[in-house]
Amino acid sequence: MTASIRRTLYAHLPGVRLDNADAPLAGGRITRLPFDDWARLESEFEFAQREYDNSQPTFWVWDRLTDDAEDSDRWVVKELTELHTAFLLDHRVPLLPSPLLSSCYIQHIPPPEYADTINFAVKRLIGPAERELVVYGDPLTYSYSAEHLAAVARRLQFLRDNKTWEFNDEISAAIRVLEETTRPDSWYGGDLVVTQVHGFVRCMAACEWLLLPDEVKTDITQTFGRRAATVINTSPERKQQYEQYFIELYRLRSHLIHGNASKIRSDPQFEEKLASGRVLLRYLIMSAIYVRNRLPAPSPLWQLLHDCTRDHNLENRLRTILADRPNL
Amino acid sequence: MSATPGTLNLYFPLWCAKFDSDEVGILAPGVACYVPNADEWRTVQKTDVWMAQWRSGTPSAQGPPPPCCIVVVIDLDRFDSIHAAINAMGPLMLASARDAVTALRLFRAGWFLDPEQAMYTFYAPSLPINLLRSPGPYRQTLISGTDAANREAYKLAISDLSQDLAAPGPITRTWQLLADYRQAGQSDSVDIAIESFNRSYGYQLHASSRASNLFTALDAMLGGMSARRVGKVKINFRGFARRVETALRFVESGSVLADAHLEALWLNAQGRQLRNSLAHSNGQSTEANAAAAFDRLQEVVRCVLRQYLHFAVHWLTNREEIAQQLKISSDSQITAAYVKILEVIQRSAGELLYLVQPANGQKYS
Repeated sequence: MTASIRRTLYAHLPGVRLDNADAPLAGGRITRLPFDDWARLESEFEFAQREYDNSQPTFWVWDRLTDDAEDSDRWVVKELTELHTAFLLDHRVPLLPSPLLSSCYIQHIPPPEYADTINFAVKRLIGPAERELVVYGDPLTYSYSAEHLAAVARRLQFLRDNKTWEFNDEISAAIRVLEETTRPDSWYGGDLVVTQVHGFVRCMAACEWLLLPDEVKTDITQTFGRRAATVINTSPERKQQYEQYFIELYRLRSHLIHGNASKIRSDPQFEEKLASGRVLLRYLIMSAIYVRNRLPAPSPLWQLLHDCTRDHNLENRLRTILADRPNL
Repeated sequence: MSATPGTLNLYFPLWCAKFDSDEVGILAPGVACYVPNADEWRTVQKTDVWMAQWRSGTPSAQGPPPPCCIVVVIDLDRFDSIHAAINAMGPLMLASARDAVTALRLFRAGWFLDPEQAMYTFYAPSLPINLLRSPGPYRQTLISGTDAANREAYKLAISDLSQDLAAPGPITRTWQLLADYRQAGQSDSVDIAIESFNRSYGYQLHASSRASNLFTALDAMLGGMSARRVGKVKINFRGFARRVETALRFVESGSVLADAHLEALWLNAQGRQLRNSLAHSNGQSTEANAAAAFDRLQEVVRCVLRQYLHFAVHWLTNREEIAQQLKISSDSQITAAYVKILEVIQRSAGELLYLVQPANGQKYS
């Protein structure tokens, strides 16, 4: 017979800085864990209170009742991956590394009848950054207000409702790029501009996966712009502006990658455009997830966009679906 | 060896690399490679992390064993504060150390943790405040070790380095290629290729992400696999495999690639398939395929990138003449020019070969 055990997950959220002390989030709470509470879970850095207090690490704390045979690592990975994706899909598209790179703790709290025989054991899931980001802080931080956190919770629900965890397609590949480009391996160190350019190129490639099938070999720039603007789904006049903007963005990607960007670099909007690649990717991912399960036969976004050029009913249908898309 | 008074030293530790000597090798002017002695290393690294690393390893009176380091050394000159010296000279020293890292990777396969991701230190022994450490996100990896990375360690030999810059060793010659490129002026395309190649070493990136970085580098150098034009220059859209074969046929000796023809066929078939599955799935099979193909793919990029750098030096210094020879506009993109040169050489090697291959006696590796 297996016993029910209450487990409390303490997951460090690197780069998340709370405006307020505590807030509910996704069935748990998000909190700045005091040093003494953290030290009870830890075996290292017992003398690092000053550094820890400066860093003000944020934890997501979540209680869960499970049977003791459950594989805790598995549910922790799933829950944290979904939560992290909900953070990444913020309008600011933050560079927040995954909690799985940092430190997580599972505290096992047995039921009262077993309290004398089972310890309040702590399982430590220490990622490759170990306690560095907990104790010494993250090089990049993003502030989260109560509204920001409410939006994270809504996005998390959106991801769960659409079962994105089970995807194995362009959307999951695009989410992987969004996630991978937040890992310090992708942006920390090196020349800042080159790093930004590299991140832009990777995000634009993922946008391409969502918008264009492999067979499109000609007129790529125009097709990319047209389709991205279709997904934005706005009035015809503004659509043209967006289309032109996305064409420029794709052209920038091509100039950068093939080495003719010296003029573009002097453009005062150069850095803003580099950041736009990631913003567009976030927008396309959210749209692709939303559209995917709202047509009789789930199709990739690029397929729908392609079919729309020949099927006006489908085009109207897609427009209606996109118009209903929630602003998360 | 330990740091000399009156100098500012930048230590870039190469965690996980193996060095076969206790001597000092010269990598480039002002850039050395060696394993610091225990005292020197204690000074450079000592922190809570050094203590934790010491406690977690086999106890030794001298502390944890020092890693092989790239050390950039310059005169302190007029500076009497380490912060002022770093403000003035730090960026140049960092750029120099980064190029040294790239040179090591361009020269040979093998893994070490990116020094900036772990920790680097400025040290000026003669100043009152003489240390400035810059910890990275993976500094504490040093406590438990990098075994989890499961990569083949970089094997550095003293014979790869120079003892005298008048007779440069092979890594110094690879570094010279980068120095020539910097001197000639830079190109975003080449910078993206270098950056993507370097990011493919990412410690905590999945094989699929590391492979994606390599495909980005290939895109930057060779254009799309099925591209019909690069910028305004028309190219043979069925010619990708032949262009890769041509590029690999003329890479310098020292590459472990077996056969240019086979490698090009492999890249055009299995490589292309992997690239497509990276774009359209996130499954375990893609990850397994990426892991299986990674070393081979990285070696192809390593070879082509060295050649691309060589070509870039010529293009950036003499583009009018080269453009004329290739019958393309001189404001064409560098990728277009490189692809065009490969198409020309593929038909007949001829007198343009110097653009993709160093002259005799000037081999980079």
